[in-house]
Amino acid sequence: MTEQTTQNLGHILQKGQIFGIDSMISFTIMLFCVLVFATTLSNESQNTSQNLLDYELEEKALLITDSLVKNHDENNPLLGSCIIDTDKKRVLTNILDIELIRKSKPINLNGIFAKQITVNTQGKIETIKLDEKNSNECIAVKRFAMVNNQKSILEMMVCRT
Amino acid sequence: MQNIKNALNINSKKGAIFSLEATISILCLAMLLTTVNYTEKQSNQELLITQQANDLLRVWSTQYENENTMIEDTKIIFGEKAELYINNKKIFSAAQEKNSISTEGIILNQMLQENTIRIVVYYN
Repeated sequence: MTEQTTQNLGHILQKGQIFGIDSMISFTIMLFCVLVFATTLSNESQNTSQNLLDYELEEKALLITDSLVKNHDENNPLLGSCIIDTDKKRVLTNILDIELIRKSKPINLNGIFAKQITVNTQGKIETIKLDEKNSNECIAVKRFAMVNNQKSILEMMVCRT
Repeated sequence: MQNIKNALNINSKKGAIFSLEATISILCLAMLLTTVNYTEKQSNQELLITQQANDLLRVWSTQYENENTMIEDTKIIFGEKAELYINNKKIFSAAQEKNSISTEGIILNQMLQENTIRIVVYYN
């Protein structure tokens, strides 16, 4: 340490401390800010990932339910139970066949599966179970359609494993 | 040592605007501001509402209903959050919310007359 340096730091060294009180307070506040920043960043990251998972579940539920009421799929009626007008060669959207719905097979899209379909036809409720797996993360999507020529509410329950 | 002196006395010697402490404080503030939660939760609510309103129009197009039945069907799907118009005449009112989605379709009745049906759904 040069002579000049010793002179400059002389008053601090005499007190036996390197930093002044204000510097220590500033440093503590700074550390606190860093702590708040790290905590907030961590929470934000968790929230974002959970939101993305929720969004994915919601999106898949809408996709499966929309496919059920808008398409006709012989292999898996879960993805299409509409009646086909053979004369016009056209799928009659929102006009469903209950027999086709009953033949629905389980589906799994990256851990997201359809648990059950509930068909409420003017108070008469029929539940078609597709998967017996238990899950705490489920979402139900309600759609309006004609089932066997009667107005019905379809409720598809979609869950995450 | 000269460097330390310069750093602690930036504003007078080098003509800088902020002192070291002020710079650190501003950096901390900027760091905190970046952590403020600006992201809104994404949702498919608008898509679902549009699909459900379309369902109602599709079903009514296959089996044209009277006004009361249409109101009942709308209530079953949207509760008290939807308004229903037939040929621009409001037949069912709802409590208005922050956002709304309107879906419109032209349906022929038994007399093959055109009826413009509009469903306005309110949501938060």
